[in-house]
Amino acid sequence: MFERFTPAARQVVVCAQEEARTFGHPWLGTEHLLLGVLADPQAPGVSVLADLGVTMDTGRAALRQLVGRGGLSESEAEALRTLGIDLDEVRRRVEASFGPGALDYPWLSLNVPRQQARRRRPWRRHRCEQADATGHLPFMPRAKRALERAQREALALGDQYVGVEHVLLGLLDPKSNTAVEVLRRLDTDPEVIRTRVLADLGKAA
Amino acid sequence: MTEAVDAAAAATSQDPRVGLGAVAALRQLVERLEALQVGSARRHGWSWEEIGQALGVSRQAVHKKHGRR
Repeated sequence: MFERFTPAARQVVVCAQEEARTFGHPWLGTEHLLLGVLADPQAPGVSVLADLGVTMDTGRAALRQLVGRGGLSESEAEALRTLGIDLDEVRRRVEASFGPGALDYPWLSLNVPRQQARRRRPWRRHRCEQADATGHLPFMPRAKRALERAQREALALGDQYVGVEHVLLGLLDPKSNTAVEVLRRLDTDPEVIRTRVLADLGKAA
Repeated sequence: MTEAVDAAAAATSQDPRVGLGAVAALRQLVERLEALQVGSARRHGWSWEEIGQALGVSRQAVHKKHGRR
């Protein structure tokens, strides 16, 4: 899968792993890939994010807000309180049943059906089996999907390689993912980002 | 943050922003709880049909939403 990835794009994945670990997440999601992209502000297209106020610092802060309270922000927690719902209590009960972090990443628990697990495994064996031994984190389905989208973005742009810019475009999934949620939280519109990144790339070419 | 609490407390039923925000937050919470419970049901061997019935939606609806994420 990573054959045509540039060294910088591979580094995005490496940085994403580190970010995931720093957050204490046992998997690699689109949100971590976004931070991996932000770790390379010089990369083509990434300056667009900085112009919109999305940096490593704001990105990390937004993610912390997003996952800090069962994926609900402080203001959402307050809004729930007006209904008499104590999010901390909900979280406690959910984690008592489903384990730590269950409310942060409930979709993780959906990746269980047996046929699906078998279908995914070839890909992991391909890249991550040996990596698991060296401590690589498993990819979330939507992170994998984002990297597949990155490859398609490169093809669509007629590029022979997959660079950081393509990974960024791949993350801007219209079907939404946690990276998109982080961007929305920072008052940016993924559609607008996409348009501006493409314009930026066009200018550079 | 205390300001947010005060603002929410002060405006509880009057301010549409607070009311709508609460509904939106509640929906977020429901989505997450649903994902957890559907995952749990699948692990317990429940069919999409059974899950759909329990949720009061069609088998197709629940599978489309949770089948492949």
